[in-house]
Amino acid sequence: MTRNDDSNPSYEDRAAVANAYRDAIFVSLHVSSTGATGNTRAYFYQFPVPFQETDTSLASTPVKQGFRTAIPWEEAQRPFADQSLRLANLVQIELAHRFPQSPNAPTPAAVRNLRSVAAPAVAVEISSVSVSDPIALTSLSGPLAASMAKGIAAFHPITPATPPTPAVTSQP
Amino acid sequence: MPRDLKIALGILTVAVLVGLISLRGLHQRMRGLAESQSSEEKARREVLAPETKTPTDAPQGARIYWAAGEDRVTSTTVELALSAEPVERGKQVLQALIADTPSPEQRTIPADAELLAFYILPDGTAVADFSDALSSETPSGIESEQLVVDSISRTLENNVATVRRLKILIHGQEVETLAGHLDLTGFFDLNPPNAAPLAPPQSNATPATNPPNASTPPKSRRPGSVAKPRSK
Repeated sequence: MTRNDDSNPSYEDRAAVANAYRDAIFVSLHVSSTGATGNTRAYFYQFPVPFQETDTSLASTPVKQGFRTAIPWEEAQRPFADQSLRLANLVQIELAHRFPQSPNAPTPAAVRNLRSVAAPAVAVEISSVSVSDPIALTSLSGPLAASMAKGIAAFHPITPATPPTPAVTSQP
Repeated sequence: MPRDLKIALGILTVAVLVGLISLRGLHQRMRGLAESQSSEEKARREVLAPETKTPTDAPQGARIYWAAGEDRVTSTTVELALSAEPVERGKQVLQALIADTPSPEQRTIPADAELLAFYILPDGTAVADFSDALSSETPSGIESEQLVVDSISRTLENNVATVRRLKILIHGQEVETLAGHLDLTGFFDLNPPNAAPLAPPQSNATPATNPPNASTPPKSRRPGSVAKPRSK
């Protein structure tokens, strides 16, 4: 857990907690402000397409995947993009099974919480705090937890042997 | 209990009651004042804002992307006088996106939000600078924030052919997130349908789905991706 109370750790602090573990999976839980009750989505981080235009001044050295090669803190999620997509896909399949109004495929989005996590990472958001009866929302916690547990369990066996994790530069 | 103490307690109780009552009234007055200030500010902006008109303006069908439900946007063709000049054209369609919303349900950008500036860099980067209301009045949540960005980016890419990516600023500053979730420190890809083809890409168009591959390493083109050492 990156927090156990109403404290508000920064995005960097949360990523730092996750990055301190080996072979971790990072799941960020959210309740949306809008949407029909029970609509549930899994998100994976989408980086912008590498820019092909003339801004050579912005180009950085290509990230290498070799052992102990540092990658920028802000780009820590990039080497795990494929694994995160696979995890989000498996979680979303389970969510769609239990929450029929949910989509069948995960959603790419630039969720800030995921960007600096050096591990497979997904955000799961359920609708919504605007529900008139709060019990209707809390009653969804069981199916939500079951969906995530099944998705993660399905993810684990097909996870390839963990490659040497590139070192992530210290958080700014 | 001594009589003096009873009197003091009585006075204190009455004072607390009066305080609570007046505090509630004060709170209501403050809320009313804030609302009226917001409305007045909006009305003032509407009167004082220079109209985005250029000599090349010609009536055309602009594709504006408003909400079609909670989680997606869809285009509506609106007849607008659009400039041939890309920056002015971008301003015109974004202003239409904010001001000409057909119904409250279709609104994606808060009514109080204002486009403060818009420009396009030579490399095709569109920079849209919005007022604080975009951040403070957008409902917090990944889905709701993504809807805002989708409506802005799709409206731009379908009406301005020269844009390639979008940077969103709030009151002239880069901010970490739109309303707590969506990352605004980077860029959003724009793919105009009639854009001139770029140089052959060296990586797949959906980098988020690419497996990490040592032979075709992903490239970072984002400012701010320089490694920063931890200060101890």
